[in-house]
Amino acid sequence: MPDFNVRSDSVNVEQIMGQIRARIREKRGVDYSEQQVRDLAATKLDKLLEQFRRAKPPEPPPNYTFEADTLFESGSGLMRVVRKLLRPVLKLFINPNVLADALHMQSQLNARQAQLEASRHMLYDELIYNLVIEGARLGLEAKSLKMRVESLASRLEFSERRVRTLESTIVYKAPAEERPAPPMVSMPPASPSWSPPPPPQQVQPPPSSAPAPTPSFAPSFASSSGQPVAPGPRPMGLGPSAGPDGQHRRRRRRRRGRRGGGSGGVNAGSQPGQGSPGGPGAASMGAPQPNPTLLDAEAARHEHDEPHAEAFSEDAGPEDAGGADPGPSTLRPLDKLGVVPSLVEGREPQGRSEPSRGTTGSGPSDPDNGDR
Amino acid sequence: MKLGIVIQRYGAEVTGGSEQLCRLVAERLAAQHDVEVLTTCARDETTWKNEYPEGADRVRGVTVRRFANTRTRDAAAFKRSSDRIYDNPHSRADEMEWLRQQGPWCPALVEYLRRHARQYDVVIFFTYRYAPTVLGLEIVPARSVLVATASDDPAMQLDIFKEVFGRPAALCYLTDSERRLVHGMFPALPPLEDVTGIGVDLPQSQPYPRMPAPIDEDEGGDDSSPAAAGSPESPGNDDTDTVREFPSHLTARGAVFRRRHRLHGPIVLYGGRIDPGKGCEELVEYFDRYVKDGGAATLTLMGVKLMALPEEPYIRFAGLLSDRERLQALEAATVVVCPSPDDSLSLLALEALSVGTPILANARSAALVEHCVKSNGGLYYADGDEFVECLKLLVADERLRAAMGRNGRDYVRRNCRWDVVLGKYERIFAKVRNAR
Repeated sequence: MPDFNVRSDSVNVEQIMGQIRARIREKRGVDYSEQQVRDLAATKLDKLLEQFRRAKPPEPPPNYTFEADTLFESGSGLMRVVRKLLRPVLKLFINPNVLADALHMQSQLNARQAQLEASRHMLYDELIYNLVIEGARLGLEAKSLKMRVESLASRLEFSERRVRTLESTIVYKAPAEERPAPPMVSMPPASPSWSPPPPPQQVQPPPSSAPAPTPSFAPSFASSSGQPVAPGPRPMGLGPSAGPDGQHRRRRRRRRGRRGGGSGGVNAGSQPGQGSPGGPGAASMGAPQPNPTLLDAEAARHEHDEPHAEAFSEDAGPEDAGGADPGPSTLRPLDKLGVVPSLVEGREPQGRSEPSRGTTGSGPSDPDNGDR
Repeated sequence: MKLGIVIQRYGAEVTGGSEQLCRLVAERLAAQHDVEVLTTCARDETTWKNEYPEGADRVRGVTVRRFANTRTRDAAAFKRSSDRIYDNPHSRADEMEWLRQQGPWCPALVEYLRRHARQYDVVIFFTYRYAPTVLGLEIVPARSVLVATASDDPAMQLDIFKEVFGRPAALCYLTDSERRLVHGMFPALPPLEDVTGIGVDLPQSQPYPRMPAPIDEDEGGDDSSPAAAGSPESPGNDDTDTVREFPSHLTARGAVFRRRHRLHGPIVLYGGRIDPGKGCEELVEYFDRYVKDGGAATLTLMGVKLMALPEEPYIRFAGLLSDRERLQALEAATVVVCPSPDDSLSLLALEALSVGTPILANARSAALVEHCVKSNGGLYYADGDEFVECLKLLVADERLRAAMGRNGRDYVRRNCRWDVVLGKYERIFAKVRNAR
């Protein structure tokens, strides 16, 4: 949820837009303009740059000029003339041109080196300046990412709290009929007509608070009028692993005894046609209970008739409202939990996870949608 | 008064803002005047193919004369021509050739208008940029009224349109922003002009299931606002007993549309042509960002689909709906989004405001921003971040939505009443007729 303080009774759209834009600017730490980043960098590291600029560039190394006549130059004109006259004689002994060329080239190399040094100094200046700007930019980006991580962390925390609240809500509904149950309920193999339920961990209450998860959902599926709400052939939160036969029988007896007692209970699902309680997923609390045998027969019928589960979905057509159909109001709290309707109805959850639904093709023109 | 209306295409099935505006105005003017619509046989603006039969017809009480187009549009050639003409120096002949390629090219209509122009007291031209308007205005400039429906479009800079805006006896605008745009672009305009706007029918009291309480009886019809969605029975309502016959989940605001299309949770609705040119591509992209950022709404698009939609669970296509279903959809929506960047009309926005649903508009459309700011009934976005933030705010804050819904309804009630709109038209017609 956005952190805006909008006074809903007196709406000012321009003010709201101002708040939204300010918030976006705040979130986008990295979206400074180039000039802004430069300014920030200059402000932050101004002293360092200033020091760097103030530092005097090193003196260029001393150099000399050496031409072809440099060897024979003299302050005295007479000497210059004499050396010029004797130069052919000197050339009989050594070759002074090679020496002159080498020294000339060396002087040129010295000059070029000095020039390179000077330009390199300017490059260093530029490079450091750019590095400072990049550093400033990265700093801003890191700050922005840090804020984003914090935001995500708070959102995660919120989600976790929400999950805990939802779990506690589920547990809260349980105590009315909570009774000791074995820690593991072994179920007979499921009927092939319905698809396996989603992973049970999603809906199981915390083990510390509810040792027997199955009955804890019962009130959610029961309508206020005491009618059985959904066929619900779901072994809720339990896998089809079969335990020893003795345990199985004991558990069945216990469940039947529970039904006879009149309190609401949830059938854990069983194979149809065996008289076992695999039918209506929930008997209503405190309501007169049907004969278990009839209930089982009805359940078996529902188990084999998968489309019937649709009849109890919230988005069934208007023609569905009536009779034993509790209507969507009964299932609304379950919708908030997100996972329960799919467990109840033996189908995929509606909405976001099922793109094909809701198009025109599946609209009112399709009379089978949501039809019983 | 005998009124002639010239429009590029006309029909109850024709989708398009200016065409719909023309039809609504014509139907209402027909109650007072002898109205004749002169149009082409085209239904589809992308081809201008002759689909309606040529000749006189009667559409919802209005006489319509259709004339066949002599050519269809070659999209590739028109695009090439547009690129050339927008970016390069060109002559008037080039512009006329561009106009011909754009279509509809219907010499028979122009010829008919030339021969029968004297029959009409006033000729109203809808939309500035098509050939029937450009050529028709040359025939009857002194008795013509132009409803420009101008938007910030590169075509407006062409020289032929300087004449189009300078020729008519009167100019009608839909919004103040359109008026400012036209004044900024064209120095020579007719002295007679007005912001006529468009009328929107406020939903009246209907028992089931759409509107349980009368709108105009109480203060702002608050009970029909999204905040009061779950309270269909209100004291003093004549239809209370009728409403009570139905379960609450059927009488809730927008429940029928939601159930029919199996929509749960917040709905972000768009209605109109689903076309990249209408900003739908950008809308889908921004909505994707919204969902990735944790948004939980469903984007529902209704109208004619002219582009592929991604196969995502949070994007639904509802198809082309009837007027009634459209109204139900607008009521069911949490937010109505208007993504068109160059919308001068935005009937969708006004309809959404009229049913008390806040809008989220593209900030590039000056007309939409004007509606949002003046009504305080919607927000606008200039980029993806703003879209996400605005949508999050609107979806999360129910009280804000309710307040915006109230503001929107008040705005439509104040500014978009048909009697006021038609009164403005009548005054202009009278002045044009008397000026001759």
